[in-house]
Amino acid sequence: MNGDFHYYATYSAAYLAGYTHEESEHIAYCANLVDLCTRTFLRHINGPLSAATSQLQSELAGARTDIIGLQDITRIWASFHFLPKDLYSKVEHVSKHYRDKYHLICGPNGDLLVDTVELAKGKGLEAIGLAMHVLADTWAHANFAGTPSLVINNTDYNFFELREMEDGSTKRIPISFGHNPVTKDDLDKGAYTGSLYQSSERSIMNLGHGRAGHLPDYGFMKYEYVPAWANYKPIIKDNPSDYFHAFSQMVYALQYLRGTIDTFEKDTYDTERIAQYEEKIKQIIRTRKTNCSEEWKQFGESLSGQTIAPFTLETYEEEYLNATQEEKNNTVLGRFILAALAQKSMVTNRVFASNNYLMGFSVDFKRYGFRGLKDFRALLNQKEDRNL
Amino acid sequence: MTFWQRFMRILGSLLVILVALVLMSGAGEAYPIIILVYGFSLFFSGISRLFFFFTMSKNMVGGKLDLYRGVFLIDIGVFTLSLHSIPHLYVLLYLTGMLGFYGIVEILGALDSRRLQGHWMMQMARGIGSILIMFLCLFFLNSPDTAVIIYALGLIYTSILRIISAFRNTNIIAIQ
Repeated sequence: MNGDFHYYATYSAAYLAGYTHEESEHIAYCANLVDLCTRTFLRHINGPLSAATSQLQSELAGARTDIIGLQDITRIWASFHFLPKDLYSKVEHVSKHYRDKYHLICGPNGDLLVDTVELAKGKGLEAIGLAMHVLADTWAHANFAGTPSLVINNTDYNFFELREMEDGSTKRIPISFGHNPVTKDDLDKGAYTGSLYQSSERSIMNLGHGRAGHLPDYGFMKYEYVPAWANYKPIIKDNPSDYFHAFSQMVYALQYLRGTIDTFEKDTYDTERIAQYEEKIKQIIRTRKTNCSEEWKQFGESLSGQTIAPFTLETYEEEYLNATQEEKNNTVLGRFILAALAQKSMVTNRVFASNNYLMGFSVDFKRYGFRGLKDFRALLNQKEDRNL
Repeated sequence: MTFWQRFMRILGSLLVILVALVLMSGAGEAYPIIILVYGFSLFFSGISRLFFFFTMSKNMVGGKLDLYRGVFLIDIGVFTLSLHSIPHLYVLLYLTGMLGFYGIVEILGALDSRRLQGHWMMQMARGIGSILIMFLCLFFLNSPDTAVIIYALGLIYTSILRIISAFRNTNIIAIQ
């Protein structure tokens, strides 16, 4: 998903869930920040590098793909952008290594989504925004895994857009992929940019939906393709439907996080609350544009009657930079960083507990004490502060 | 990285350094060893590709390509191993040809990384280095001892990088 959905659509969902304009803007800011909180940004604000929730192209191009490098990449992408749907799904006659990768395939309504939303409860608006990003991406990025893997994320040349025509019929239009990242996607000609085929299992080109380009990120796109893992069965990815589900699930989850609903359950959507806006929302999602920020912004502003400030990464930088070491955790970026560390830690723990080491090791603190990356000590300090 | 993986990586690299030192001390007499090392590395690359096919890519759409690649690499490996009885000149030409090919692949990869605004200089340096070594080997075609020493230095450099990478941090804490 792009910034249009993560920022403006999240704002709209938060407002519909009952948050104020300011709170909704804050949640939307943090939801969008997930795509921009890279090591380069954290280095700039002198923050803990382990809290990275995304990687720049330049960081990825230079990333190591040995075991440690892969675990680092997987912790980032599987925790925040490709949340695994089912860590225990059955797949027969395959090696353990294949099964481990298969279990990281992203999808909506998994157990980890419930864990993600529950983890954010009571942790502030920053954690809520972060959780909404993860939730929305489970819909957009379904069928791809947040780890470099040829055998899971590769696609072949069978790609077709199922475009709805004005007369109501559906046309099957072939999609072609170029590999020059500078070239813009041509929606009319069906020419898109995707990552280059690399025969190496661990190549960074095989991370997430790279091989399918930005198709999963476009709300209007309905397409048919053959994923590497699907045993030659074509899949129809219906983004307009998925994006609408994502929006209505966000409204439901945000009500839970706000405290107006007691439990968060899978496969539940608040279609009632958004019923009167359904047509408008679907119309925005179906708009054939690579960036629908303007449409979502207008919708959000029509709901609250307030102007939504454009997203700027630097908004809370000064606050964080000027805070003393003790005060940093009470700043917006400080709380976001803690939420990111907690999410990464939780997902790594769940994956490790499923006997899958693709995200690295999770150490039982009660048995072994603190070990590993020192950045995560902040979570321990936070827990101790709460207990005082 | 687990302790075993770390241990194997270091051990493998130390063995390659040992082979490189043997090559340097034997110089001109070392061609059969080079052929042996190179032939077996291609052969085992093929085996590893076949292993990848049977454990991973047989479940993947279009995965049969790995089966063909594995068989091809094994074939080239066996061919390389059969070169032990031909004049050293041809062996050196064959090896430098392969080195040049590797260099070109590295340079193309670096250009790709550069286009993606990634780190490309090291890769470019490796590519240019390989091409330079190829030309040096061609230049010293009549002096096989020097060519072997250049080849061995390349092996030592790669092994040291692998050893350094084996010492990277690995754990992560989880607090529920």
